[in-house]
Amino acid sequence: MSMSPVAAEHPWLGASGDALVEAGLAEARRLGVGVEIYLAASRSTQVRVQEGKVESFTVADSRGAGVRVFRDGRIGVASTEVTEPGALREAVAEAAAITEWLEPMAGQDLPDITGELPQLDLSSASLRRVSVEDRIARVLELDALAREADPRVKTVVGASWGDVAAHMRIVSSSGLSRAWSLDTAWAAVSPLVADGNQTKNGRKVVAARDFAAFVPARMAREAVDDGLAQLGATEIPSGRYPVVFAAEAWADMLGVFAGLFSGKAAEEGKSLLRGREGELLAAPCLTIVDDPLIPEAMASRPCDDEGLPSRAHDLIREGRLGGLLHNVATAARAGVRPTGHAARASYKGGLGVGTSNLVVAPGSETSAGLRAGASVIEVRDVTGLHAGANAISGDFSLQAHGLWHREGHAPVPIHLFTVSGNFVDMLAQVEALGASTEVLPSGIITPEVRIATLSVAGT
Amino acid sequence: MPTTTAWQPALDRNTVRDVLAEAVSCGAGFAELFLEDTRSRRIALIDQRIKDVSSAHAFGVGLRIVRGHRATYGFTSDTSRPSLMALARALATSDPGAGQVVPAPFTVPAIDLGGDADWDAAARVDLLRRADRAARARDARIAQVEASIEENTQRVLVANTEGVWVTEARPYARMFIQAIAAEGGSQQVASRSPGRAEGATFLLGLDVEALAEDAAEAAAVMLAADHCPAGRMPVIIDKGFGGVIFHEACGHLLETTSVAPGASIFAGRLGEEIAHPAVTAIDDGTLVGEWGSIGHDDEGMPTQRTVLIREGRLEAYLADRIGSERVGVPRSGSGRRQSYRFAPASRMRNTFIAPGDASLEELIADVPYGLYARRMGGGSVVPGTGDFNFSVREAFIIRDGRLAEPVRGATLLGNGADILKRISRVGKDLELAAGMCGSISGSIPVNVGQPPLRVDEITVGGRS
Repeated sequence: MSMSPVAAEHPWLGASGDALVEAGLAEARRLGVGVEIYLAASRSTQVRVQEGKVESFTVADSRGAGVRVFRDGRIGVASTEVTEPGALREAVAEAAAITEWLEPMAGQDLPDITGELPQLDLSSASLRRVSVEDRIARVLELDALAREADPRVKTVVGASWGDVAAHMRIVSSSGLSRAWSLDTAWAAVSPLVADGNQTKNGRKVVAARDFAAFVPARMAREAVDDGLAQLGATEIPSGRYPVVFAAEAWADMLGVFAGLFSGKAAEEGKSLLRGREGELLAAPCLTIVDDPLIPEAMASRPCDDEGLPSRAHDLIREGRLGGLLHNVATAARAGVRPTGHAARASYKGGLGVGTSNLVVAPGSETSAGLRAGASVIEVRDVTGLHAGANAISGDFSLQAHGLWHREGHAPVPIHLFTVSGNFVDMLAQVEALGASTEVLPSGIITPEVRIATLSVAGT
Repeated sequence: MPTTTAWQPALDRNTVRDVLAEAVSCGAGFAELFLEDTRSRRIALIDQRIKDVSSAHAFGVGLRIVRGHRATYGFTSDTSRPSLMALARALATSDPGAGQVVPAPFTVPAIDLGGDADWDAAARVDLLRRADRAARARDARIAQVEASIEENTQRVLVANTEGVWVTEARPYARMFIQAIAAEGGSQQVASRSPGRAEGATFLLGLDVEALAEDAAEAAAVMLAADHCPAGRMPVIIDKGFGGVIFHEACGHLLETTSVAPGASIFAGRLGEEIAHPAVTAIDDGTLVGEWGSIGHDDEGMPTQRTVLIREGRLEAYLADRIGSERVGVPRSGSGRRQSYRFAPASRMRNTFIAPGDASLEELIADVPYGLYARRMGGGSVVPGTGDFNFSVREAFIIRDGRLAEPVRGATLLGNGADILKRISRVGKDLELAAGMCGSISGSIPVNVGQPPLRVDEITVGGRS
């Protein structure tokens, strides 16, 4: 069992958690069923600043327990936020009763999970040392610097800070016992800039485990620059263009379509990649790895939500689709080994499959080289992802803003256009990748990516 | 429906009074306690099997202190007296000030909050199987059907230092049916997801076959659809979920959360003509059983019907306690939150454009060339500017006043202030549609809605 240094600080990782777990295990023994108990506890603070004042301050003590009861190939699920042993007994009994309504499926016996967890410390001494006052001071500074950065800043819509110290624990009646902790903090600032004709929103979000990563002056500058770069935006004629995605925009696209790599989606007929493992479906310059073991990335974890030790997994290697991602049950049904990608949205609900950090391997192209050509669209941001991108069909049609690069002209800001296509088709159209990568708050690490041609609809 | 045990808030009046007194002990003007006890169940079918059944119990207390326009909030699911007193003390001392409020005595009305009714799984399994059969029978190209039922009863207590003691039970039920049609390498999806705030009676009365067939047909039709042509054109947006555009591009900008800091294009414009005279828009929490209805809001105020825009003129904002003070408008009984984990904020309830006089056929007949947006998908709006982007899930080209070929991948691009002036005609057949609205105080049930309506000109994004 791997315990980070903070682990013992939360009562749920000590005696009071033991009492909950014992109550759940005892109830499962009494009912003659297998059980997995997942405890999640976190403490967090959030600060929102507006117009130079703290508008809201929140402290949270969040706790929940999820149980999965295994009976004859059926898995019943229940959760509770009542933090008493009796509530755990009730949840196990409830989940056991639920199994009656389920149909048995292969691969749904209580898994026997073994293996040492990798050394991966995701706790942060620097974050835990910072006082509440210092956290608030940093957001106030961020807000003030953004407002003063440029006369065209009209207001700062919001400057905010959030941090969470989370502790997870998985225990099962087959003897599994895992515990790990995770510290994360993020800050965001969103200035509204205007030049008389147009109003634009700039934005900068930073997520990190190191308090030193939050530099208000740099964040404010980048957020304001992001807004200013959009002022004077024009519309562009519709057509097919080579398109360069900035790292953040490409990360957004990857994030929305990451579900295509899910073995669960494939088994449910919801992934276009089903049955295409090993196929050369992307451009040979493209390699994407799911890597849960990067200490500074936000989606890292020592094990997945079933307790299976984490390891890196090739999703696309030089254009060829690797294996899809699996938890124990979906892997058993697909006849492959589980990849350690069991994921649960929280202690509530059932178990699915999910990515960790998606890492796109860098290429060798310079920033200028990526943008070279007679007429190239640079997409800096896409919006409306939950609506304009369909993870099942792979189709997307997304509103974007960015820059228009034409040979011999200065780049022109452009807005109110949509880029559209199909995600899987687009992977084959990747033409070049930038030489440097960015670590984004979502846990995606990627360079800028150039697509040979995409449909762009403007005016 | 058999009632087992009557629900009582897990906290007594003395404890709540002491916690509130502690919370204002360092000089805050107001404190509020929100206790929530929510039981949820979900049952889901996919691959013609009942695959997921789960139950959840959410339970905890949120405590808020308001000083001027500033809120300090904390929550915990450890609702023991020492835990709550410690939380109150932590909040109070984090933001000390002058002055002292004495909590007013509670007025506690007697309200029957019901108990947990038996959950009859067999009846729900039957609904899911019927949906699956009907969708697959409708078209041979239906490759997958996913159906689920989600139910929950949220029971809340809101108590504050002004003497408010409100308890309320809110039963929700919603059914989702999603059909996937596949042909060649292409897959298309359509879904239907009605919901009401009246619990199981609503579910058992659903015409699931009609819903499932409708979803299956829509998915199959979209298989044959070509990519939507781009350009500026008139658009007829059909009833029901079409109201999502008003919700996103206008409704959110009328919440004091965005009005107060001046982040809304509608800030400071009460009384002005902001829409075409054909447009009257209402946000109503009082419609019995509707998905977005509540008895009281999450600040303990009885909910209201709020006319936002009357015949084009801006009449009201949606205001919570702090927003009402910041903007200087009355509270609208729409301070809402997802759970005890969120401080309340000004939010929508059932938001809709009031009916006019035209039929859908008349609206379409007037269009020589344009788009008929039968079902809208979701979208997003830039709050400061009102620029929006919505996907159209099911769409047809209109040619010479008649529906022509289906098209896919259409998006509507525009601006909230701009589109309100371009809604020139509103149909007579109002329909509400259930959705979950995510914002600063979490994800909450709301209805969007409208009759079919005509937008004279809007940019349609498609594939050129």
